[in-house]
Amino acid sequence: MLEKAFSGSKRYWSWVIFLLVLIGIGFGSYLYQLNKGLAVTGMSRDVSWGLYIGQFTFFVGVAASAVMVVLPYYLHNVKEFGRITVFGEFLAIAAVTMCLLFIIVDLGKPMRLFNVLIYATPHSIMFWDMIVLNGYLLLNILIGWNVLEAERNAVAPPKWVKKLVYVSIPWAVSIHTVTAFLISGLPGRHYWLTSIMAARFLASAFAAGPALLIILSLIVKKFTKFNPGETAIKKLALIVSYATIISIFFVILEFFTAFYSNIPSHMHSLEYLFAGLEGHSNMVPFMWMFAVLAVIAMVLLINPGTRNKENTLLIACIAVFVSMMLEKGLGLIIGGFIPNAFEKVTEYAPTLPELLITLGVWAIGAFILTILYKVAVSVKEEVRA
Amino acid sequence: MYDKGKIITGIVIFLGLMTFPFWMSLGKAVNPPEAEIAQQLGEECIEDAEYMRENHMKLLNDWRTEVVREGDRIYVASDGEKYEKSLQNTCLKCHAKGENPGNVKLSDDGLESKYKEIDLNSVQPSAEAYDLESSDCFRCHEYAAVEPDCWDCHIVD
Amino acid sequence: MKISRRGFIKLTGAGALGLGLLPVKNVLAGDHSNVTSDGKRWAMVVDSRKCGECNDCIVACHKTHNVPEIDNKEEEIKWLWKEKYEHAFPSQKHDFVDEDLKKRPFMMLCNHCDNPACVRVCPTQATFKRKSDGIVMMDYHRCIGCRYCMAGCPYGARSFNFNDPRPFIEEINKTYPTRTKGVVEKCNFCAERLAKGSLPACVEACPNNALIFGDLNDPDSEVRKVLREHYTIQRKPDLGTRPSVYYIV
Repeated sequence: MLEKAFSGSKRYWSWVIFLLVLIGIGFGSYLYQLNKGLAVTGMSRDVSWGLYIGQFTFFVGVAASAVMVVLPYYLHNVKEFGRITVFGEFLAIAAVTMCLLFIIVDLGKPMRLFNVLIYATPHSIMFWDMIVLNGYLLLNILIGWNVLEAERNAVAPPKWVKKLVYVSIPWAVSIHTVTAFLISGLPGRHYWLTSIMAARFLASAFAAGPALLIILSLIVKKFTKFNPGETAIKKLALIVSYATIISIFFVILEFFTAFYSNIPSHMHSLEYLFAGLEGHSNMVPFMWMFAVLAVIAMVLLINPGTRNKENTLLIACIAVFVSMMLEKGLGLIIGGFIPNAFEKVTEYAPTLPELLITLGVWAIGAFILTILYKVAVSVKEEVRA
Repeated sequence: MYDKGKIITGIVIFLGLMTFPFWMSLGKAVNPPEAEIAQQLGEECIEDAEYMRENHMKLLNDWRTEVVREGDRIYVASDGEKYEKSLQNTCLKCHAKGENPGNVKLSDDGLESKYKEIDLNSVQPSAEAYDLESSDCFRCHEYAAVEPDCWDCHIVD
Repeated sequence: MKISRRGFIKLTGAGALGLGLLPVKNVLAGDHSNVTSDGKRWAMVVDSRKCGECNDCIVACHKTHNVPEIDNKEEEIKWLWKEKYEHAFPSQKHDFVDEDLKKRPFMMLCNHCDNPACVRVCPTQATFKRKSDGIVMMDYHRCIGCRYCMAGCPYGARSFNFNDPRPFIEEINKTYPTRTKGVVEKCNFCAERLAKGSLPACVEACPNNALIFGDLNDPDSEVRKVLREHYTIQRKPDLGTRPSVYYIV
């Protein structure tokens, strides 16, 4: 099937080359970072994780795109999702790959990566995160590819694939839970030390993942002969609506606990993020952008008129995606480190090499997605013809 | 056959690239270096030469782990002799110039007398100077294009 | 109380399940607090009343261990350093702390916790607690530089080598290795000196004997004596890490 990726329009090839150029720039920047050390990033002794780990946690969420179409289709027989399950799974493949790359570019000694396997350590959550992420990647590759191949050959997918599908559903829950556990069980990081962290991760994942899937479906619809189907998109929009509302509700819960209890250490990070602390306010505009975008998204999604119209739905989905990225992919990680263990504020801002490497990882994700979607769309066009 | 010209050109270029390393180094054959310094001294290594050639990297890795993490500092060779698990204090004594080899074998209470009993759990490189570039290790690693990163942290003059 | 056979079996089953879960809890919660009971447990008492203006301990520590001197605050490496009372004990500060305490420096270092969060989170066991004496050690050969331990440590005791440290070391101590770019490092309680029977470099360097070092498991040790005779506090004891560094205020 992969041969489908080698023939395409001029527009397809220009897009692929554009992505390869971005990957090249990112790779060059990474070599620079490898040579100079992580000093080229904006991270510091106090804010020791930054954009990379933030993007990692966010894209774990995006990988939820798969389960949100697979679950209704296989467990509740929602037939409309049949046409797009493979798109959800392929998006998950790209997202999880990005997650793994963000971890690797964040390591100080990437050549020792396999120490995590050689000296497997079950009491470290990072060990489990490695297992669930790689497992989820493998599951989606196997399921997506085999289902698509069966569709092409007009036969039912092999039986073992369906078993894997059932495994993949709870497995999808595990990747968000374990990633949340990564940060929610650390003594002294008050902003992260909240038992609804895993629930927040699930809610924001179920919002951001399907939101991106809607955006991609609309792009596929516009640029190819394949139509993912209006009802499927409408159903996805409903999922995004509920997940966005729950997600925002969870953020409000954090505010209540911190500010009604009035415990300083619980309020500090939120104060820093949304109002600034001790004269430091780098993150304030971004967090308010999150708040505004989240409200816009919620209004557009709750109102059936705007939710069911393609243009406004697209705006709503972009708003959901960007707002969740700001909250989870930036504010959540950085907020955990500010103020530091001595209740001092050291701020963080990504540097140019850091941004270029991040862009490179994005481009790799987009490249994988492009190739896989090209194959999927070509197969589907061929089957319909 | 369609596109005969293109295919044959392609195969020729492919083969050329594949064999590039071989004909680039034609006539430049170099004999692998022997453990010269150690041989000159007439000392025998802790295990026989063949074993050391194949396993010294694993042995050093194991030593490192055992010393740093378990505080186990004494190596008992297959002939029953005891040695200190130390690159600097055992291996380099014979494999590098600049130091009288002396006897690297330990008497039964060798280590116990060397360090006080409190705990033997840490890395303690001595400050003895060796000419690293003349060492057997260095010359052979250069020949085999192997770059161990020990010296990024550990200091030898 | 009468208990049916069925009920008894149920109860035993539940009990057995509970016992079965105990090791799981121990693994997940990484409760290592009992492993040192038969060995030593090195500890330090910092007598802040005696601590003056000098930096002798810091200089001794950093020279001994080839700790680089990096001017950029964001990338600095420190094993031993000074903090003010309000930063060292943020939950103990109040509006009317006496002037003397406000000005007094407090020496900060790795707490060598009995229940260390850094050891719990490390994915490669590059940081581990020695069974023989409770020191929380780093195996720099194994560290992958993920900095999870820095997120896990509630005391800000860990530094990451953002740069290659060698150019930032003025005078290299040839009896101790340096570290390399990309690994995390911290105070090791001078494990290499303890092995030879000497006290930690900082303890030896202090002109006022403000740093007292010894074995917590030995009731006759100097630290135990000092702890018996003085009121001492620890940093963030409410987090359950059980630090091995105590402060006399």
